[in-house]
Amino acid sequence: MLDARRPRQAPGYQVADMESLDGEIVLFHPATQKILYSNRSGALIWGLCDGQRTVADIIQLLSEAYPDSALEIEADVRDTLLTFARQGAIEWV
Amino acid sequence: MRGNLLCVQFGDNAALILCDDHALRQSLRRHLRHCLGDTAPAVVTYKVTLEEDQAVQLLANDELLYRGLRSSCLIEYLMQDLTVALTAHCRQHLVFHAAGLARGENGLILCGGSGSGKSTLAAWLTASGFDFLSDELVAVTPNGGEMSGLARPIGLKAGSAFVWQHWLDETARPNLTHLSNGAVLLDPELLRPRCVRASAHPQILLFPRYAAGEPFTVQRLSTAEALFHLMHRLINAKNLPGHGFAAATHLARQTIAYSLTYADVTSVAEWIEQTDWS
Repeated sequence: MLDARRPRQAPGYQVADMESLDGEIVLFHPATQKILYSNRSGALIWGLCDGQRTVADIIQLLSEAYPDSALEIEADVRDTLLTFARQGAIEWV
Repeated sequence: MRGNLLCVQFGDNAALILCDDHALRQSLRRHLRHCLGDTAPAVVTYKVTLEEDQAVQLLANDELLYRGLRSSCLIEYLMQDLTVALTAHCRQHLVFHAAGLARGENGLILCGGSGSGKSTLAAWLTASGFDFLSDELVAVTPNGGEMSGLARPIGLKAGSAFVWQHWLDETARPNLTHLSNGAVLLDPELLRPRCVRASAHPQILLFPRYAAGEPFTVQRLSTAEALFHLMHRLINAKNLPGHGFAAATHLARQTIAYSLTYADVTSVAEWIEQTDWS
């Protein structure tokens, strides 16, 4: 069921320039003072959460980009999105 | 400056302390001598008086903070309140809950919450040859170019008594101020003369974690990890443009950051000695 859902970046987060952070990401929500860190793969996944792509779309896109890691990507995308959702960084459309 | 007035300066603000009693004023001056100045605007005014019953009274903007017979309590209340007041009004610097040290022009920021060992490490490293900026609050300019500290006396909890027992000889020990909770206030210059420094260039960020019995471990942090930890220690975010996020990002980018887990301050001191600061 998860794979059909469409994640969207939660509003209100400031994002530090990813290039300056070597592809990693730090999200900061001024109103709630919540600060989140994610590694490179998490940063990529977060960047793809546009409310249009489904979870399956994100898995497919990343698997095509990194075919050697396709098996890990599937689990990683789901785990990461669930973590983001728990932390309030994404919403399900 | 009026003779009965002391002005404590930190970041872009100052706190005024009015005290008519000579002996009390001398005691306050002795404790706060490394952070006195008179160029910044005052955001809070304290009035210290010695009452007829010999009780000491401390008012902050005419509100009673302390009344009692112990002058060490007066110092404790005053330092606690002025730390909060100076931070709360600081708008032109990033203020971190951190200790600040320096070697030459190179600044070391030790970021950590209560119990992380900031003061213990600051005291030990000062005695070992580092210059002292603060054991509690560090202010950094938004461009990350300069750091300064609130150079109040180092507050060492009872569990850190080994520091002053190791470094202070018998003649220096009467100069410690013993607080009601077993902690002491220690003038950094008792550890090493002329060790207090006004400013430095931020070079290294350390995020220490004290863990009794655990082995010493060091982890180099990425810029993003350093930023994540820095934002957790940024006290005056709400006063800053964009909550200081961009400025903290800049600071994280231009410094080298490590997280440390330690049980023994000497292992940290030895590791820092071997660390490349360039």
